[in-house]
This record gives sequence, C-alpha cells and structure tokens, in this order.
Amino acid sequence: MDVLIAGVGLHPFGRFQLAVEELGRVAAAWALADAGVSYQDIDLTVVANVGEGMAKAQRIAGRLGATGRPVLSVESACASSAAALLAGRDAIEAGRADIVLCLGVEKAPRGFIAGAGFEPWQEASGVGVTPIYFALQAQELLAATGGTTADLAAVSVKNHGNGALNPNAMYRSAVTAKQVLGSKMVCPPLSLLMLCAPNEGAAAVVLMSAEQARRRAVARPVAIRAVALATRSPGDWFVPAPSRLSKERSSPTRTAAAAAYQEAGLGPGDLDLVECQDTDAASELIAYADLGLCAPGDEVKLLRSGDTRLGGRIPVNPSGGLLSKGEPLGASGLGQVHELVVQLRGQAGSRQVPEARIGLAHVMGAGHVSAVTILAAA
Amino acid sequence: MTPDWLAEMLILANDRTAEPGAPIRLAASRCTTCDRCSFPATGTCTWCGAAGFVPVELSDGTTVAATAVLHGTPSAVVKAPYVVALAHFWSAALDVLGRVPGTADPATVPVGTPLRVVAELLPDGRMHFAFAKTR
Repeated sequence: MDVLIAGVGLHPFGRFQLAVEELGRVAAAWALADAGVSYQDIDLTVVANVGEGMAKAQRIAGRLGATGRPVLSVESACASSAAALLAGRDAIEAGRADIVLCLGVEKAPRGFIAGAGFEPWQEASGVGVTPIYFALQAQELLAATGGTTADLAAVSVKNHGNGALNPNAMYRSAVTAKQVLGSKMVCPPLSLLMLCAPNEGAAAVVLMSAEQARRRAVARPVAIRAVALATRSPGDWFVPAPSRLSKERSSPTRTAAAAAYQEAGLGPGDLDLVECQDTDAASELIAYADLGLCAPGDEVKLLRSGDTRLGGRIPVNPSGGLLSKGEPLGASGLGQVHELVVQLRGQAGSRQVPEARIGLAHVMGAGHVSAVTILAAA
Repeated sequence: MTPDWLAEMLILANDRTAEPGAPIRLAASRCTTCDRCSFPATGTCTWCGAAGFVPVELSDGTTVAATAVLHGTPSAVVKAPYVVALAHFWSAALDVLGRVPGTADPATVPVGTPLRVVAELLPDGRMHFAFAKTR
C-alpha cells in the first residue's frame, strides 16, 4: 500500500522560552493545517523524543486534543523520529490506521549530550564523551582518504552557507574556512564549528493512505518509497561502545541504505538530494560512502568535486544540515523529512534543488541505530 | 586507592591492588562459538549471542587513533584537558578506548605507538585503567 505524506510542519530549531509541549503543538498544528485535517481525524499519533520523562508522548500529544485514540512513544536516540516515521508508515500499511501524525520534539540541554548510553565507569573516567568517537572516526577517515582538516572545514562552510538560506535554522550566517579552523578546538581534529549543537525544536508529518489522500484531494503529496532502520553488526563501532573489533568493518548506515534502496527499487544514482546526519563534519563525509554516493575512499574526492553543494550533481544537506540547524535529537529526522518534502514540492526558495523528484534522509544515533528514508514526488 | 565496582568488571582480580602506574591486565572474553573477543568481558557474546567463553587478558597494544578532550564534562571525575587513545590489542583483535594520563597532546601518542595498560588513580580515589607509552 502506498503511504503518502500529506502535510508537514516545523517549529524552528534553536533556543526558546517554550515548553516542549508547546514546541510540539506548533509543529503539529502546521502539519495538520498543511494536510487539511484536524487532530480529530488522526487515528494514531507517534511521538519521538529522547529527553523527556514518563508518559511524555501522552503529555506532548495532550496539547493537541483528547481523542481517545492511540498515542505511541518512540525513542531511538538521534534516529528517534525516523523510527516514528517507520512506525506510522507501518501502521497505515498494516491497515490499522488511515491517517497518522508523526511528531518529533526535543528540548536538549546545552553542551555535550548526556545520557548517551555510557556506563558510569565510562563517564567517570572521561571516555564517555560523544565527540571522542566523532574525532577518532574523523582521524581515521582523513588517514584513509588523504583528506585534511581543510576538508572538514569545507563541509562546515558548505552547510552553514546552506543554513543561511533556511529561515528555520539555528545558525543563519555563512562562515569561512578560516573561521571554522579558528573556532575553539573541542576534540582534535574537530573544532566547534565542525560539530552540531544539541538544541530545541519540533517537526511533524501527517501520513495518509493513498486512498485517504485521493478522497481528501490532498495537494502535492509526497510518497514514502522506503523507510529502513538498522542496528549494529559485528564490525560497527559507535557511541557508547568501549571497544570494537579490529579486523571487521561494517556500518548500520550501509545496512539501512541497502534495505531502503531495495525497498524503493532505486539506487544512489536516482537521488536528487540528500539530507544526512552531519553530527560533525566527518560524519557527513563518512555518510557519502555509506549511502553509496561514492566508493569508500572517495569521500573527500566527492566533496572537493563540488557535487554535494547546492547546484551540484547531488546536493547534500541543502537545509544546512545539523551543523547549521542544530540537533533537537528527537526531531532531527523529521526535520530532514520536512526539508525533503519542501524541496520535492518546489517550495524551498533560494535553496531549492532544481527539478527535485527523489530525496533521501539519513539519521544515525547512539546505540548503533541508523535509519534511511527515501521520498519521491507523487 | 579503592578497587571498587569500577575495577571489578574491567580489571583482572589479581591486579586490583596494583599501585598507580603499575602494569595491569584488562579482563576480556573470547567467544567459543564465533571466536570474537569482547571488552568488558561478558558471559554472552556481544557479537553472536552464544553463551560459551574463555577469559582473555589485554595488556599490551598500539595506538590506532588518539584525540584530546579539551573541555570538561559534568559526569567525569577527571579534569580536562586529557588525551584518549583507541588502542589495538593484537592478541584479542580488539581496539579499546582509554585515557593516556600525563599529556594533553594527542601527537605524543601517534598511530603505532606501543601502549600498555596501567593502573590509574582517579581523583575520587577509585582505581581505574589507563594507557601508558611503553618505554
């Protein structure tokens, strides 16, 4: 069964004097209006959030109304809202719902992400710090590709430049390579402007069966061609694992991407744009190969070619990515979906990818969770 | 130095009274089904899920990659800046993350640097493991 995105909504990403429920309400209200439905029409609500406590989904969705219908809570670290999309899509495919609201929302504290699954001994001894993992991966990437810190800076320059065109981004100023390289060093080789900032925000989508969308004459729906989620294989290493196998290498992103391409009947060459998990500048480069945009070892070559810039062959993170938007953990994946939908509808303004028809979104979270979503203009 | 829970699941029992800086051994395990090793040691293989295992000791390795934590975190008892290395232990085909006390510059432990596991006294009095350059 085809499942369509009938509406999208977003609360800008940044820092706000608003409760998490209000952030969610704003994004949901926009999505419901965009789809032309009310909350009374929603059969199932799936809420993605990392940091809130017990009964958070019911509390957050409670701002939208009391319909007596199911509300689910989904948490998969930075991949939470992609998991919510998966659950919502599957509910419609299974015939358990006709209209689903997926809502990702977060109020993440400033600074290093706490509670990323580390054991107390890791945190106490100073090795339970997420940027350590990103920095070590960055070093290995640079060694394997012949890249330099200038290449990492170039990713940040590209994404901040795109973010300057996005009114919903947290940082809306372009930066220079000199500024990136001169920003405060966090974990070598990663400086502050090469790392995303955990922040606040919300994103929502309304899903419908194709039949519902036809009956309601939904304008410009976007089709979900694939949603795939993968967890760790023996060769993976990511937050919070204290050790890894030396001789085996794999990636949950590669696994999820392969599943998504198979489900969609598409390949990397069919994509018009990509939104990927640029937690740090090197993570975007690593995703290039894991998503099949280039061969392993050619990540820096692809960046230097200019193909991943706006106007290039396959623009990556035209929204500005997490580097400029910031990362409200539970909302970031649906924030990417929001960007893809806007692009596929041709509504992205000055950051529009010309004639965009097919887009891919990728998130990756602590605990070795990766999700890949492929959308197509319907 | 208190060899409390922090040490018990990570360090071999005979090494838990070692003096700071003395060589110690980490407690890893090798799965009798898939032959992969896990650190910390586990009764159920973290890779294939099988139950059988034999103990493996980790003592000497080499740097795979290293970085520095330049800003403190609320949950750490150690003070920044400090260096963290990913050390390769060839005997177990495992890479393990650990601190390298006494330096704030990751360039002091470049790739391939021989490292050994040593006892470290954390500022809160607990025993932990760390990596030191082999002389």
